[in-house]
Amino acid sequence: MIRTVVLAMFRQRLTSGMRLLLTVACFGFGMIGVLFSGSLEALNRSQMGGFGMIMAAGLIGQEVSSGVLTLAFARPIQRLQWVVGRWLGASLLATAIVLLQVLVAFGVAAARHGVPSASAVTMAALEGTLAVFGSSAVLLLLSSVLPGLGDLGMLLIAGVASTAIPTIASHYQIGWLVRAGEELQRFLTASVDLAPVFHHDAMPWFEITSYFSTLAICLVVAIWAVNRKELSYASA
Amino acid sequence: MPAIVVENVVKTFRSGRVRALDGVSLTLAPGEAVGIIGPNGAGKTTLFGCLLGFLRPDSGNITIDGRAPDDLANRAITGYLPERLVMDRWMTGLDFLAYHHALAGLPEASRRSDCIGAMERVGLDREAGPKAIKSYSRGMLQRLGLAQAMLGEPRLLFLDEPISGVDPTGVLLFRRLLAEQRSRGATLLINSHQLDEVERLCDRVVYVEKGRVAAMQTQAVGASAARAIRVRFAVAAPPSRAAIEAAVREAGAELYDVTAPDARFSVADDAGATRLLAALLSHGLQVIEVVPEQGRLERLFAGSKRGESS
Repeated sequence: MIRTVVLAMFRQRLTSGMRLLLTVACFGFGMIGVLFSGSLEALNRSQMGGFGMIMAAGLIGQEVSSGVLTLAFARPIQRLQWVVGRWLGASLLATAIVLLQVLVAFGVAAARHGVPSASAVTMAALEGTLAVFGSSAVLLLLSSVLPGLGDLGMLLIAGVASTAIPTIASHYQIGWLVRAGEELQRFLTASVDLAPVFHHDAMPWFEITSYFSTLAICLVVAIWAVNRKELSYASA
Repeated sequence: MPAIVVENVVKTFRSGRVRALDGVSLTLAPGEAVGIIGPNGAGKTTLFGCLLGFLRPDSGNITIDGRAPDDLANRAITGYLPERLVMDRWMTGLDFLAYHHALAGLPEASRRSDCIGAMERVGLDREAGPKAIKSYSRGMLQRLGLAQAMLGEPRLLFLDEPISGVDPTGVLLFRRLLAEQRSRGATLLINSHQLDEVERLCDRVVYVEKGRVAAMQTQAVGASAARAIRVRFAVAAPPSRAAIEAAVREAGAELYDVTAPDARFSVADDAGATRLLAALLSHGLQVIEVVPEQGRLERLFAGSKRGESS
């Protein structure tokens, strides 16, 4: 059943002109750094996480607002399966784009500065994959409680708040608020810096645990919210 | 065991300020076709929402085959056509059916042939299959909606305004398809404003008003109700008023007016209508058409409204 939802999700996103346009723009933006530096390190996690955002925006909210959910939920599918299927669909599609970008970046870097090392390619691909799964999970959570593309708006507001709060809090020397702001930022930009792993430094356990706890929280809350949702124009 | 049991269901919205269902009770036997009618905002669609498990009643109980409405086993035997037909517009018609075929857990091996067959069954030609749903007309959408509801021949069919927006040819087709569903033993629950369609298709009619079941009637009840009928005579043989009046006296009916080639009468019940027709024919009048001025349901519920206002 999840496979059906994932495949439908692929087709839905690939028929959206706006999303494809944004994907091309994000792809091109990411390649600018590679073109100039000739290094795969120019591909950063935030930019690759952007593919996850493009594919995941409105993951649930748009379906609720358009009203198509009633027909799907009249079928013998658990809401959990539907939520997980939508998240996987967005994440896997974005991962495919990340891998394509890493491949193109590899070609560009090889042409300009010699063939990049296997560890550099692996690190870029893994970091990008973790970033898209993270960003799509955060949007899944927001989309489960906000209609339409409200998740993107909320992400923007929360992003500004997570930057402003630590700045203001550190000015007034409020330690716990600085920490809260940083945690919010870590939550919103769920990704893992794998450089220490590939450079044989200490394993970033805190970052890895934080990343997977963010994913778990987002999925659990989204499933709970969708399970609680009543579907009727009369309830709107 | 009844197919569907609804017991004293209450559903409110906006923190209890809107009482959409106010103690609704209803039972459907397997294979029965029941129509739900009532004015806008009566609670018909909310009742459907509760039956499909989309809405949680505040109190009361609903079971379908002894299970909760949102039990997946119920959904596997249910087909649903919503009133507000919102579909995934980016899909083609055939993709949409294939998607629902898969969600219904129907066998993948027969998916393509089942979906093509479903489209043909509702009168959508082969060219409509690969077209995007966003290019479909209202009538085509309704046909596609019915096709998805009938996928897998479900035992329960919930149809919310099934004939809305369908052209006359489509109406005839929908009537035939729904009659087929009935004859294969499916339980039908039809929510409609089109009383004549409900009258044609259903064994029983539930009139919902202000969130309550205001009346529940079987089709036989209307047989004893008085009604007006219009009789059309052959244009080639215009009726004489004297012959009509004689037939009316004989049948114990009442003549409203004669506007050739039509005449309008009032009869006391079904038997009165039969007597009038026999009398008209026995006086040599060439009757070519007899039509009730109101359907039975219209009469019943017009009566219900009059009773309420008096």
